[in-house]
Amino acid sequence: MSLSKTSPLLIIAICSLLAISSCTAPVSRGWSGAMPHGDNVYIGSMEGKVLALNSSARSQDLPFPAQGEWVFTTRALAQGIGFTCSPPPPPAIYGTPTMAGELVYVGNYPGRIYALYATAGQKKWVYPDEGSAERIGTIVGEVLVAEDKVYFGSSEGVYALDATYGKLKWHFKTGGKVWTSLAIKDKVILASSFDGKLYALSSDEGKELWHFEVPVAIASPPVVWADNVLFGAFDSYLHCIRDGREKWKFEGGNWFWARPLVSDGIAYAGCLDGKVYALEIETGEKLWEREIDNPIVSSPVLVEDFLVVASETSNLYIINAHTSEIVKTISLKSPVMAPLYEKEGIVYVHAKNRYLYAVKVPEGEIVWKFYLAVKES
Amino acid sequence: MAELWNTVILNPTLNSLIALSGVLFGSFGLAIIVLTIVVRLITLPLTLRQLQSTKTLQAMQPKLQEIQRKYAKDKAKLQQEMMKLYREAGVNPLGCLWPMLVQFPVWIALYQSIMRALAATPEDLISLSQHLYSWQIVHQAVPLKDKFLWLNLGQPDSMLVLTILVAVTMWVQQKMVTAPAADPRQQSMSNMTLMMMPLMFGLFALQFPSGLSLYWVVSNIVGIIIQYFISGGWGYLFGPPTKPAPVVKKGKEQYDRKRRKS
Repeated sequence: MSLSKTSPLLIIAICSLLAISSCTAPVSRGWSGAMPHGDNVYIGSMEGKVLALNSSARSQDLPFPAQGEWVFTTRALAQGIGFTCSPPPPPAIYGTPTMAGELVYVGNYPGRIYALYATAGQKKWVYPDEGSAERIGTIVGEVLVAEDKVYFGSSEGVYALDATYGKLKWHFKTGGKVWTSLAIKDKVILASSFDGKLYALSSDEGKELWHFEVPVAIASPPVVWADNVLFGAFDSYLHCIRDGREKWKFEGGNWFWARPLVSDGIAYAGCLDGKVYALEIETGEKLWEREIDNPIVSSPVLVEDFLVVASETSNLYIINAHTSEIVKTISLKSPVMAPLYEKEGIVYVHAKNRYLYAVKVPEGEIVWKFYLAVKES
Repeated sequence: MAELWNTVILNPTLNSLIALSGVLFGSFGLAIIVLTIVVRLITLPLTLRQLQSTKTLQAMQPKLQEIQRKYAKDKAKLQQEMMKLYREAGVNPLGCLWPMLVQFPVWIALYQSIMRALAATPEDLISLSQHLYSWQIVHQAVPLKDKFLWLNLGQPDSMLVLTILVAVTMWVQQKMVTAPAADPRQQSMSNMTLMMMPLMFGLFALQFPSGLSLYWVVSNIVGIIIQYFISGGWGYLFGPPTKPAPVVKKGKEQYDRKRRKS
């Protein structure tokens, strides 16, 4: 059998498989957390929708939308010229919606920031405008609202908008993506960037005040505790800096991606090595570590004396924050990458199977769950 | 099985690619080019064997056609005579095939490595973290810069330059080794294959990230260079060559020597 007959057939077979793999339905992405506020919980879905869910209605499993509930669909950017064999993926939402006054603020991955009225889900403004050709880069972190401004990071740097009207106030271009949430302290915006720098910018004008540099990308949001700033980086260290200088650093087994949780002088940090570390913030001393066996992307929460951690094992772990003993394991049958939020003893967990779970802690009882892939009414 | 594949094939390729980026001024595009050349050089013995086998089979075509005409009505005898001919020539009819099969895992590993290394979304980046070695150079290089010349390596080439290059280089590479056939039906099939493959890969280049298309173009160009030097020229690119190519001559001499012995 000659080359001209057999090899093309084999190559065609292989290439067909590759083509099929590229022409399959797009993979839904995004990991917005669920922000509890008042009687409602606000969350972004993998389909690019923002939902307001009423806890009482969900506990009773009433048809959606019940009173006080709504859903809003964010838009992708206009498609460029090009051939595709499959429809573009929906505009995923990674950042948890932020509440401020009567408005809910959220950014979607393709690069739009929305201000929606919290009561009815109507759009007040969107930046950039939906007809605009302006591109502000991809958005993964949450929106920070402070001093009448909306601050957020994107693949193009750090932006500040007027919170009421959505007009651009300033833009600071970083050397790498800012795929994290920002922090603010004393009119200073802190932003972690993939260029290895933690930037400190003036909140009024966006001018760089100082930066702290590491030789690798920083993907973990900065967290402020007293005068300390903690962040994790791709060098597998959790860094603690003070007054712009390194105070200590702690080495894990892989990158620190999740936002560290700080409480009473202790930092609880989930790592992609599958462990949770409890560290004394002043000294960096390790108090304990607990292995979960799968990467931890989701930021943990503290409920009384219990640390609640979710990982890609599809389990939710309730851990005694003093002894590190796993008190309860709840199976959700789906990995969790979204940050956890808690209110009045209920932890809200957004899993990759598109369900939002409300889990009572420390009992571990699933109070209700809701499938987020709803159609807009 | 997946774990074995990752440990033995994918992770070494992936980490080598990323480490090369770190060495080559942070350029992932340059790393793709260099690694493709290295892989083609490593698999050169297999490529040469494949070319040798192809040329020998082409030299045998007239005799094969004679046997097919002679024993057209006796399938069993036809098979017997054809196998005898292959044996005498010392050629395995599928001998042109297995070097290509051995190279498939390499191609697939490179494809997977390029797609993983680009890590365009947060989920991809987290997945990438589970495949990296503890080499400092690797962690410092990630996430990789996706810009190379006019390209965004994580997206298809919107200017279509790579699409055209993929199709053209593939066509040239194939044409160089595809001898004209005396049988019109065979010639027709040959022409169809010659056009179909480049067109198909060109369409793929419209779909896949341009990092992968860059790999295809470089791989094809290296293949053309190898064929040029091994075959002693452009082969059948501009029609039948005026003098026999060294490899063809060698294959035919070997074949004639074995016939004289028998």
